[in-house]
Amino acid sequence: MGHADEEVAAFVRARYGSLLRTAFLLCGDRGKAEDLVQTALAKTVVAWARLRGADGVDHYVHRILVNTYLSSRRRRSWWEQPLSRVAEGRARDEYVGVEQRDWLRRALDGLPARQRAAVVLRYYEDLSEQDAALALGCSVGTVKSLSSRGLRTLREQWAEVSHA
Amino acid sequence: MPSPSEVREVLSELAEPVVPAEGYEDRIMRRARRIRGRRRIVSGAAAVVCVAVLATMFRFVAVGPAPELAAVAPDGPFLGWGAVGDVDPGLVQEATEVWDRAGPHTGVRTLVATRDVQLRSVVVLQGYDSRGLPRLAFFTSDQSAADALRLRADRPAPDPVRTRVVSLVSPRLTGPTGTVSTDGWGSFAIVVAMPGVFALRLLNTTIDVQMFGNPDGPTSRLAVQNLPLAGTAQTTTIAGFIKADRPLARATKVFEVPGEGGAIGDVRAVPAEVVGRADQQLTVAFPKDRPVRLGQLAVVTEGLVGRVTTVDAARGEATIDLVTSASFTGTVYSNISNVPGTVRGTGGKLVMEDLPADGDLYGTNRILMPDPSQPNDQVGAITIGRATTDKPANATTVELTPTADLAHLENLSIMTPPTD
Repeated sequence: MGHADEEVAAFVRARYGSLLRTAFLLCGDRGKAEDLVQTALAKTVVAWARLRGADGVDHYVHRILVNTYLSSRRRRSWWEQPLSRVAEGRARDEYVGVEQRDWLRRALDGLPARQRAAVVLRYYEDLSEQDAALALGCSVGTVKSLSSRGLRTLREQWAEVSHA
Repeated sequence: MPSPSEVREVLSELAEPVVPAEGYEDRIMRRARRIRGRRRIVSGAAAVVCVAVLATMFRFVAVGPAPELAAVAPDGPFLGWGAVGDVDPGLVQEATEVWDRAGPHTGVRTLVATRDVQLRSVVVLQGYDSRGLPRLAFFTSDQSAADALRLRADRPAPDPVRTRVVSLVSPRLTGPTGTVSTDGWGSFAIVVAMPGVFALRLLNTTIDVQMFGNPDGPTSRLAVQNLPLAGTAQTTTIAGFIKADRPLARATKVFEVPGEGGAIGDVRAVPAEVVGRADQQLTVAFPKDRPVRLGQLAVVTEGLVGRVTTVDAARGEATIDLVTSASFTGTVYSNISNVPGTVRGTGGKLVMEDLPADGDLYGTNRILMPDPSQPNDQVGAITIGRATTDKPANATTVELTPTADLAHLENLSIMTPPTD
């Protein structure tokens, strides 16, 4: 194995776990999350030669991950339309933590793809607005707008759940 | 209502249980290999498509195989070319009668018999003379005698197989036979190219423009072009172009040859070959039967080379002092602005002196030297050089750059009077 191969393998091992969790938050499904991350990292491996000297490998991976996720959502939007929305209701779990996670998972599912990505990147990955803008391929203002709307939607759904 | 920190906390909790499954590294590497393979296939296919498109475009639109000038079978000892454009039978008859005054001609063939805006009439005929020798003759109107046709040049018929163009360049084509035009632009070039030539270009080094024949006209292989009186065959180059019959095809040059002179009354250019070279002198060999005299000028297409200083007629050799030699002097004038002066070689350079202090001379202005073989200072004057810089106000000297490439001379012409 060459030096470059060792470098890229080390990078994959170091970043796979965290990217997998981010991908899970983006798509809400463990199998699809693995698919997303593996696609993003495979593209990174292919581009490794030109990314090696650059500082933005993480930016590149985030951007590929988000683009792949958004593309998959767009593809699903015309051939994989959900038949009906799951009715919102109280969590069936008895435990509050579990209830919160269940609520959040379903609330995230209800967000538009770009709002969901903005929320995950800003509040889970803890990316700055500039880095989130790079990953989303949009302006900082758009990131502010997307994350703010996403957070507001989450709050509104929290309020609905709390009052139900 | 969750705050951003609460959302962060819950997101972390939600993602916490997600852990990588075994074997992800191999799967990622396999995917990377598949992506690389797909990209190679796509790149290869794209390259093949691009090459195919370009090849198709070049084949059918622009380039393709280079067009070639198709050979024309000779007509016995004559050029087998058809006549250019419409033939005026009256002009052919008149020209034949004029030609027969010097002796009967037989088997007369017409290359050109047409009216022209500048020369009024142009006729070019081929035929056997009274001794049965094939000849080529040029006729133009005498504008001082009700446009009566005059014989301007009568020369042996050229090689019917190799010749691609025939021409006559002379300042003696508009008046009585052998008489120089009085018009400052009274030299003319008549050029006839073989069939298939798409356009003609005349380049004369006494002026700074190139003249193109009309490529779209029915007489595109005939060019009649007026030149300054200084224009001669020795300073004229003729190029012919052909074009493939396809859109966007470019014209291709198929020949470039010197102009031909030899009109009645014209100076005769004696061809000479450079056989020796000293610092500022050339030794040239010329045909022993051609008269070469002291003081005659040696020229190439680009301009003046020097002056004949010694002649060994028995050996057919002459010595020529280059224009940059210390012994070279002469009177000159600037083209167009006509500022007079003298020139002097310095043993390596060339300077123009005795300029009027108020005369304007600018860098690259062309300087002409009269040819002593010609009847006046304008006719056939030869470019000796160009001003290297602008002449400062009140200055009387400026350096010139010779237009002829004096360091690489192999052949030249010595200008001799027609009467010798």
